[in-house]
Amino acid sequence: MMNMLKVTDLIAGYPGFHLDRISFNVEENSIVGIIGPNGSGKTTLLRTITGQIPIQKGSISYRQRDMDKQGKKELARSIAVVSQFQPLPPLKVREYVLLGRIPHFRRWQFLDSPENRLVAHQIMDLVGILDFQERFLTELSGGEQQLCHMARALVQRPRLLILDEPTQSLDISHQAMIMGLLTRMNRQQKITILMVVHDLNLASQYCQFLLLLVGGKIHTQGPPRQVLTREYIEKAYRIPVVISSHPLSQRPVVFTGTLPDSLP
Amino acid sequence: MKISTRLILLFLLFIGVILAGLSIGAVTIPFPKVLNILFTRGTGIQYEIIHQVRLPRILLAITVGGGLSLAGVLFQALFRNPLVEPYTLGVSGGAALGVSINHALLGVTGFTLSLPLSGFAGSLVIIAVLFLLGFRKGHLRLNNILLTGVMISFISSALVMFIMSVSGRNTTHQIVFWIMGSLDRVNLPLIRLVLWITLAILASMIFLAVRLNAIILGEEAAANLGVRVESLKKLIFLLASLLTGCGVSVAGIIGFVGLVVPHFVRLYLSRDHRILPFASFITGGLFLIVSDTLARTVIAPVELPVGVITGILGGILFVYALNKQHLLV
Repeated sequence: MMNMLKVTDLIAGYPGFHLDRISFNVEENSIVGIIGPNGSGKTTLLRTITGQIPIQKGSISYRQRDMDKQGKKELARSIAVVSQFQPLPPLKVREYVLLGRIPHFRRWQFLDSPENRLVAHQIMDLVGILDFQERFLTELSGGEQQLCHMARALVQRPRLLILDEPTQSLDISHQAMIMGLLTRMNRQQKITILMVVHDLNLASQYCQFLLLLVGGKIHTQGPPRQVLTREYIEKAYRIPVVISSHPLSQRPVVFTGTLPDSLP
Repeated sequence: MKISTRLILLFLLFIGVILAGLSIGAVTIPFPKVLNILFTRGTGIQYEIIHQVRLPRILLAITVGGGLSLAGVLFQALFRNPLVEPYTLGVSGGAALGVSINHALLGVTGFTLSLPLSGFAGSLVIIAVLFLLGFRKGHLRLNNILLTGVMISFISSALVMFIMSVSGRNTTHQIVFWIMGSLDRVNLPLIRLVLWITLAILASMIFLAVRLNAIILGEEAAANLGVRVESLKKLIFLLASLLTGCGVSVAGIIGFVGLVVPHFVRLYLSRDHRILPFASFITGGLFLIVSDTLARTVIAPVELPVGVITGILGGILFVYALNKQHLLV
């Protein structure tokens, strides 16, 4: 398997916090989840990969080439990002989704090409937001807005999709919808996915590989079965946990181990 | 109604308003006569009125109204804040201060261009100060610039008041009049220069429009779409400030146009920056021609400051539109 993204001995951050010699690979066509407690550096790691935070030491290469040496526009044609807090501009859904085609504009191109419209239409259909394409983004529910952000990222036609907590504050049906969409994109369109996931059980069900980050360091990495063990999780999150397995998928499920009855 | 139809209607209205502005005044000149005078060489009092008085004034209205509206579009996109307008950052305050210093030092003896030049110099100083204070480690810190600009605005108006309080009644009167803003300071070569600068910046929107659309998603999202955000921010800041400085130095401080026109165009035409800057330029020009024509005719022969009309007319129209549309701006 080819490496899509290769991070080697990465040190980066800002005053007060830095990532400490992070190394990992994202294989082509895989779904990789980054987990870890609040403040462990998950978002910092993503923002360093997307170029928002400068690298102090180490390297990040994308498809065998150093990322710093590739043009921003060229990268934007194959990497799309959905970050944790997306501003909601006062636009209609269709207009918003079309903005994702910007990296594909030619140098002097001014108007949307028929291809842009077609891609936007297909993606909105795929994501299931075609019905409210004429509504304003601000009128939609949180789950619907998240689908719009995903659509905007997918019209970039990325090979690598980077997401920061895509299921944050969504109900279980929207969580399943988003994760299902990502799985479909991964299988049908061969899009590699790297995402921060707060919910350990979602990470377990949908990711093939997990990175457990604690205090800016990689605590452990591997398939969910190897990472989501009582030993690692209790050490990382500093609470007692119980690990079981999902009755259908047999993948690990994590429960918190303190019962309210035992509290004073 | 389709957007292209709306744009054509807007343009026709613009032409109509220009012709009406040429026709209406102390001496009313009928439309056919206006067209005849515009496109043929001639002499006589009506020819003089149109070519020497009304046409330059209308060109000035288009330049200033269009330029301030365009600056409003740029500032609102840059700061992603609907309340920001060309005067928020103190560029106009700097111009007012420059003009006040000029009045206080030179009195009325200055040469013709001394007022516009001192106004422009004042605004350039403010732009430079804001840029230097806001620029750190390769980043233009927009929140910092916004707050600094608002403070600089207060400081300059305090200094203008200080100058007024220590100078004679005559100087004070002139400063107040300049600050109120007016389109009757007709100096054709100067208007032409400023018009060309404004049109050049308008034309550059063809190349910037797509990137302006990206930046309303936020700096980080725009960067992820492959836009070089820092250089774009600097460019927008400088272009918008230059437009404001130019407008203020030729016509004084004409409020409301730069704030209201972009919102109006967003409500009725489009939020897309491939349309918004051009449509705002036309609408701004149109709005200022109407306001100026009203200002010089409502209680003729006395001329009202045009800012009185833009404030009343713009404010009422805007509140009406906002409540009718039920839309957040």
